[in-house]
Amino acid sequence: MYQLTNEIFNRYITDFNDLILDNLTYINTTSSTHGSINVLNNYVKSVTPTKCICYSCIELIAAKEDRKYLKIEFTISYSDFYSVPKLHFRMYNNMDQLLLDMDQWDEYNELLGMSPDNEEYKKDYTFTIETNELLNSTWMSIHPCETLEVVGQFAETSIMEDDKEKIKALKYLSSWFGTYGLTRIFPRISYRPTFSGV
Amino acid sequence: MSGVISEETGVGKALKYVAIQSFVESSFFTKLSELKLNEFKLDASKRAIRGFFTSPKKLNKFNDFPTLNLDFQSFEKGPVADSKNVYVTGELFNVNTIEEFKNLNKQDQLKEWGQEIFNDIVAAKELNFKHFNRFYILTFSDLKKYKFYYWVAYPTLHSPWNVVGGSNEELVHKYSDKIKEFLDDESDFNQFIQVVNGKLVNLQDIHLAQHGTFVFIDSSLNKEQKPSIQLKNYLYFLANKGFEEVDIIIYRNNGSSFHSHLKLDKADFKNDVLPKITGWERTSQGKLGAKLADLGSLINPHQLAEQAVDLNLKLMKWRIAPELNLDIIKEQRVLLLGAGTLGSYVARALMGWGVRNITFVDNGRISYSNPVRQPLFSFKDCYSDNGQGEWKAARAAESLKEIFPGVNSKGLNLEVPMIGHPVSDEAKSKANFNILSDLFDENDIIFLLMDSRESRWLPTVIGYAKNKIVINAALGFDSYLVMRHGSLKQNEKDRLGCYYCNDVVAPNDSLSDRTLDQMCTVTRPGGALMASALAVELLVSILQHPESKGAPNGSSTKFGEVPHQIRGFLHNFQQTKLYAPNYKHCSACSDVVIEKYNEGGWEFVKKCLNDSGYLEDICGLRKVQEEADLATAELMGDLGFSDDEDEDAEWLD
Repeated sequence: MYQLTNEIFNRYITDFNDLILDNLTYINTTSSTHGSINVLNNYVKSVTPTKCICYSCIELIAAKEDRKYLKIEFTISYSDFYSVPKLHFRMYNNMDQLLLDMDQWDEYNELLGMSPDNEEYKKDYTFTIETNELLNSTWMSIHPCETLEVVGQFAETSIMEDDKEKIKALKYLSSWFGTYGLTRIFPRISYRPTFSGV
Repeated sequence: MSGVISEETGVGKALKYVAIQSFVESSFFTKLSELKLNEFKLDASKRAIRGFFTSPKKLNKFNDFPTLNLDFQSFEKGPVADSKNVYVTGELFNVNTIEEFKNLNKQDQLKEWGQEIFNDIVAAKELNFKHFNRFYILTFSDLKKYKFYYWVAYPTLHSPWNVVGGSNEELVHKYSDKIKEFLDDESDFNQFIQVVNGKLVNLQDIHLAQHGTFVFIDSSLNKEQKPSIQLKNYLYFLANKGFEEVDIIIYRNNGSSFHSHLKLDKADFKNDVLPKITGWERTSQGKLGAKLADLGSLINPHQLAEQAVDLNLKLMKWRIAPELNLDIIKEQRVLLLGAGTLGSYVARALMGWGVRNITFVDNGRISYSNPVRQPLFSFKDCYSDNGQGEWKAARAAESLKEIFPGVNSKGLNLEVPMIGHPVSDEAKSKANFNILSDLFDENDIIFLLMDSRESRWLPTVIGYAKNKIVINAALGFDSYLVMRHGSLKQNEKDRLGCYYCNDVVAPNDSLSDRTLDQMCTVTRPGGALMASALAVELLVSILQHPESKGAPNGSSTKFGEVPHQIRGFLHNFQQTKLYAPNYKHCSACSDVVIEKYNEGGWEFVKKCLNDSGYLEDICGLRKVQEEADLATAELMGDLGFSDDEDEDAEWLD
C-alpha cells in the first residue's frame, strides 16, 4: 500500500496546494442554494526546517436572499505519529464569531450541503478541539485514527504503479482530501482534480 | 498626485496602485497576549517583528491584492526557516490602554515611520527590498476580554510620476523570459531590478541616469493591471536619485505582465524635503480605521475548556446515541453527601458527563491517608490550615474548579444528624438538619456517599419526602453496592426499595466499639472507583428514562437498562443486578415514616435520633419483631422445645 512520508509531503505540498486552488469549487444544484466559494488567503509555509503547513482561508456565500455566509480556515499538515496528512479547521459566521460548537453549524446545513436530519459529518468523524502544534493555537480537527487504512484503500484504486513520484503523492493527497479533508465534511465544497496537466 | 499634463505627449495621469491588505492569523494574537503577560508587561516600546508575502513566483488567481501575513512566528528573531515565502520586517507598537490607541496622532506617527523609511532608502548603502517594504502595526491588547485592536501601516513615500503613453507590450515580451530566469537563479529575493544594456541587475548595482528601465516584481495578480503599492517607494527612490523618465515592466508569473512609461513632474518634487506620506491600511469597506480581532472563544482557556468538554459529550450523541439527552444531565444540581473516596470519584465522573452544579457536604478534615484514595486532595492538603488539614468539602469544591473552572461547586462543612447517635446539642443538630433540608430543596439529585450506614437514614427519609433522585453507594471490604431509591409516586407494587428496606431493625450506632477492620475505610481501593463510576452511570441512565426516578426496575431506554441495585464482589470479580421492592414496614421509606416526618419535621427526627426504638414502633418493625418472636415461640412449642429455659442457669447456679 502507498504510504506518504513527511518528506514526500513537504516536497509536494506546494503542488497539492496549487491543485486545490485550481479545483476547489462550490457545487450548485438547481433545487437548492446557489452559492460561491472565494479564497481569501492561502499559503504554504515551512514552520520548522522539517515541517510544512498549508494554510487557507475561504468563504462560502449563498446567493439566495438570506446571504448566508461562512468563513472557513483550514490547514493541512502531516502527522508523524499517524503517518497521514491531517486537517485542522475553524469556521466563523458573518460576524467573525468562531463556531466551535458544532450545533451552531446546523444553521448552515444548506450552505454546507448537509441535510438537516442527517448530520453525516457528525456521525462519521471524531472531532476534537485541540492545539494545532504547528500553529500553536486552537483548532478543530478530525482524529486521524482510521485515516491511514481508509485513505490507503481509496488511493490504491487511483495510483498506478508507473505513476511518477509526484503524481502518486498528489493522487494520495487528493484521496485524503476527499475522505478526511474538507470536501467530505462539507459536501457542497468540491475538489475534483485532473492529473493530466500536472 | 498633481496630475500635470505632459506638454510633449498631451497625456498624463497618475498611476493607480493596489493597496496591501494585512492578514493576521489568530496565532499572532495568541502569541502577543503571551508575550504581553510574560515579557512586555507594561513596556510599550516598539519591537521588531516580521511578516511574509506569498512569493511572487507562487501567486495564484485569488491573489487580487498583496497580502501581508502575520502569525505567531512573526515575533521570532534570527534566521527565517521558511524559504517558501518572502519575509519583510516591521515594528510592533503595542500600547497599554484603549485611550492611547485611539488618541495617538496617527498622522504624526505615520510621518515618524515614513521618516525611518525615507532615511533607510535615501541614505542606506546596502539596499534590498526590505527597506522598501517596512510595515508597522499599532495594537492594543485587551487581555481580559481577549480583544485585540490593531491597525497596520505601510508608510509610502509620494513622488509625482505621471503615466505617459500606453503599455509597451514588445518591451514586456522581450524581457519576460529573462526576468523569469533571473528570479529562478537568484538565491535572495529581489523585487526591483534594473535593465542595463539588456541585462538585469539588482538594486544593489543600480546604474544612475536620467532615463532608466526597471522591472518591478508584482506581488498581486490584480486583473485591472494595477501594480502593488510597494512600487511607490521604489519610484520615490528613483526620483530621489535623479531619474526623470523611466520604463517600468510590472512582471507577473501568470503572463499578465505589463509596462508603464513614467515621467517625473520635476516642478512638484523636492529632493531634500520629506515627501507626503500615506499608508494606514483601509478596511475592506475602503475606510480608514482600526480592525478588531475578538478571540475570546479561541484563546480564553475557560471558554475553550467549556467548548471542548461539551464537544466530547456531543460526539457520543452524534456518533453513537442520537437520542442521548445531554442537556438534562447538564442542568442537574447535584448534592454529594460525603467528600471522601466515593465523593471524589463521583464528582469527577459527574463532571465528565457535563454536570456543572455540584455541592459537597462533609464534616471531616483531610488526613494523611486520604490523598492516595481521594483524587480531589493532595499531600499539602493534609497539613495546611495550621497543620490540621483542610476541610474536605471546601477543598473538594475548590479542586473541582481547578480541574474545570466552568463548574459551579460548593463545599459545606456539616454534620448530618445520625440515627442511633442521641442529640447532645440540640441547637446545633437542629441547625444542621435545617441546612440539610434546604440543600435538598436546592438540589435535584442526592448521592449518599458517607462512611457509615446510620448517617444515610435521615437523607433517605428527606429524599423520599421531597421526592428527589437518591443514589446510594456503599463499600464493603471487597464488595460494593450501588442503588437508586424509589419514589412514593411509584405504584406500591412497583416501588423500589431503599437502603433500609431489607432490615428488620432500625439502623443504630455502628461506629462505636468497632475494631479497625470493621470500619468501612478498610476496603480494597479499586472498589470505590467501581462503585462511584456505576453510581454516576446509573444516574445518567435514570435521567434518560422518561419516568426518571419512577422508572420500574429493569426497564430500558435506547440508552440501556435502568436497574435498581448493583452489587459487585472483588473476591470473585462478579457483579449482579438485584431488585428489592419496598418494604411496608421500612424504617426509612415506609409511608408512615414519611408521613410522620412531613408532620413533625425536626421534632420527629429528634425522637428517632435519640431512640431508634421509637422509630421501630412507628414503622411497625417492633410489631413485626414481636410477631416473629411469637411465631418462633409457637414453632418451638410445636417442636417440643421450651424457649423459656435458660441454658446457662444450671451451671451458674
